[in-house]
Amino acid sequence: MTTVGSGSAARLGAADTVRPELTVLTDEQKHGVLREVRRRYGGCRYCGGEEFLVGDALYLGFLFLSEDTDAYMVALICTNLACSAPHTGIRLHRSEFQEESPVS
Amino acid sequence: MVQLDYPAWLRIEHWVNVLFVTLLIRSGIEILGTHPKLYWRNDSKPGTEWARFTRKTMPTDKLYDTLDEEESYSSIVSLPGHKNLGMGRHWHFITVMGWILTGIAYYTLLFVTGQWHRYIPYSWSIFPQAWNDILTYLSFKLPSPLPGEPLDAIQKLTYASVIFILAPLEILTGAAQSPAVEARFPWYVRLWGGRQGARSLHFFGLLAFLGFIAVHLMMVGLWGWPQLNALMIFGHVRHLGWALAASLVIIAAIVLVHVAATVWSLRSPRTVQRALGFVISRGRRLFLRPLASRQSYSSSQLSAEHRVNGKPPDSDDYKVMAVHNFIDWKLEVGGLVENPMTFTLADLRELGERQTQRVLHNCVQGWSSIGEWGGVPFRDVVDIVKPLPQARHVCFLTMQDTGRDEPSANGSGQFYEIIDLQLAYYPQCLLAYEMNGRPLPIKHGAPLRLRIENQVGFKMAKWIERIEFISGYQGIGEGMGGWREDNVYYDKDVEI
Amino acid sequence: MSTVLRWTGLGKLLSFYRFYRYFSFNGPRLTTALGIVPLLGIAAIRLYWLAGGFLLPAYPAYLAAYFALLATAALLAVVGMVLGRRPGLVQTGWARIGWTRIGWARIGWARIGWTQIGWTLGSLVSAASIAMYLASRTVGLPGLPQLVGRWDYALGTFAIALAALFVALHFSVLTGMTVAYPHRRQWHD
Repeated sequence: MTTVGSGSAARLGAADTVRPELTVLTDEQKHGVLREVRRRYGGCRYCGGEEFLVGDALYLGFLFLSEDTDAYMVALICTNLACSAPHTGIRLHRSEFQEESPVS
Repeated sequence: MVQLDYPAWLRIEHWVNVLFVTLLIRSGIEILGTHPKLYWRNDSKPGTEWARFTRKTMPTDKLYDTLDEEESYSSIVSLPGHKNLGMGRHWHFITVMGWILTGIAYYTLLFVTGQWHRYIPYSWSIFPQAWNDILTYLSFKLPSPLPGEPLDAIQKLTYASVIFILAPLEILTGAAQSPAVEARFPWYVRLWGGRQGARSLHFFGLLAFLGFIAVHLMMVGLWGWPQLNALMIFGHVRHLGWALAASLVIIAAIVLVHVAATVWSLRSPRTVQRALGFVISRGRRLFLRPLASRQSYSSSQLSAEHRVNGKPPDSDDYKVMAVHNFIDWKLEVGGLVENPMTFTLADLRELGERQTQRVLHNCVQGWSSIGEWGGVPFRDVVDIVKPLPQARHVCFLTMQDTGRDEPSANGSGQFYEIIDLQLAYYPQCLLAYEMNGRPLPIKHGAPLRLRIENQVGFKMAKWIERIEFISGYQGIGEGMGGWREDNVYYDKDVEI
Repeated sequence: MSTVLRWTGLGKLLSFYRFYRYFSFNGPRLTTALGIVPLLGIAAIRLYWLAGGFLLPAYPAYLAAYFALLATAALLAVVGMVLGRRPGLVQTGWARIGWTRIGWARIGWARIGWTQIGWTLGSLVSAASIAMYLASRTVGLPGLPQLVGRWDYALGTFAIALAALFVALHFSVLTGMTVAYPHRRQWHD
């Protein structure tokens, strides 16, 4: 499973202007996201691919009525070029992708 | 010198005015109730209102919109009551049309017959006389009428103020709240202190009319109801009994009109919408449709918190698109066109020259804000797709499902709005993907919304996913030209 | 205030006037200014009457004293309203340490502040002026039988109108319909 730093692969999107509602995640947070993705889905729901890039997060709690106050949508990009729907997302509560201190 | 008596036209106008002014008051309160907050500045910034007529408070942890702030008033004070802005607007506008025509007739007759002297003073000495009258009233006595005139000095000045200042003021501040008027003549709305200044002044006018009515009735009572009533029925002080009976019949008829209007609006709003809308829309088309927007507010005037109406699509598809900055969003443009097209956001950005406009947004509920919108002029898209000759309207379909997304709105279904194709060519008709220099925010319609600046805000569809060129709209939704038109009974064309 | 209304049963009386909760206004400075004007008017009228402008050429000394007292109280009320809240002679921090309820009572009184004193005094002045005026025209005041039934006095009518206006305004402040300086509305939703 690879993650992406603050640079971008072409599939991250043509965000030539940053959308104000989006939050850039730290590498640790992205690790947390991938952990959750692995735990819930295993791989991409469309092509079964196992490698994702993690994009930005959108805070859902304020804008959307049905969402919990700590809900986020985090962007996922399937790295399989043949995938029919590479741009997906995962809904997470903040605690689910917070940094986890490594077990020593 | 003309004898200042009570000709028939004057008496008829009096009772017609009773009907019109009371209809305007009740329907005006309905309109006020839809956003029961008054401001002075154009921004309508939450918390800056100078008056509130609601007990509701809004959440701080969730997006709320102005539909949530709407108040429901009793049918006694508002026409028709119970959150029926569409109905209130129809009654207000049709009555205004009647009232203006009545006023024009009244002014003309006053001046042509010489009766204008009953209100306009003969000399400046009326002011010290009016002061003496006030002192006399404060002494619980009645002053004498002016020699040869039906009124005393203070009454004459008061009537003159109501007829020649207050009534025109109400009409002018009303007009200053029309998006078309504001868009074409930004200096005119500035004259009244801005959109909210005009609205607050319009409210003071309402209070002034209520005060006038109270004092007027008290005066009639003090001076002799039977005699004065006879003057306003027969023009002479005679047959007091018959005059009383006639006035009761007239008042009962006026009350009946109010009750009928209220019941009809509550029970069968669609027929009210069609009947009254038929007349009002013709007035709009004649006087307001030609007004094209020429707004250019300065950057310093942009509202820090532009108000919001309507909540974003609460669907996973939308949220996933949003988090990917709408890279997968596509706009389908089709219907009665030669070249149906599909555009991505990147395509739209590259289409022609980006146009920006700093304009005053007018919500149908009465609030306003100033924002800068950037995007592609809609006419550029129209030129590419080439509408067929039979295309007369444009339908904007959105990603909002009102039942799911907007609990404060009456009704459900996909939100859509329809405009006349003619409006697509207006100068500040824009498909906006930017706001205040940044990508269009989600709460304001990301990724794309319509801007059509001489119309009220609800026409400017947000969260657009498809645009269709159509020949008629009777078969779409309830056939009234938009979701709000179908469910809240607004008119399709809303230059005011 | 709403507690007081509930306890005294006045709440029920005013329940039709629960409308008052439907009306609320901002503009604390304007509210205070609108309150000051009637009080200044009341004071000015009494001073005018003291200076010889009264309805009668001569009147008892107690009435002159009353006019002077009323004018003074009205002006003091204005001062209180304009000064705004003052914490008084006792510091809150000092009182908290080691002080029990007694300490709080002292703080409570001291923290009422000049604003409330001003408005309350203004209402007392207004109520007194209305009561005295009505009494003088109905039951009569000692030594002033000529005033009984003399309703036809414009300045007198104006004076009680001002007083009634002030009381109504104070009522609107107490019920929360308006807000007076130095308080502010917390309306940001």
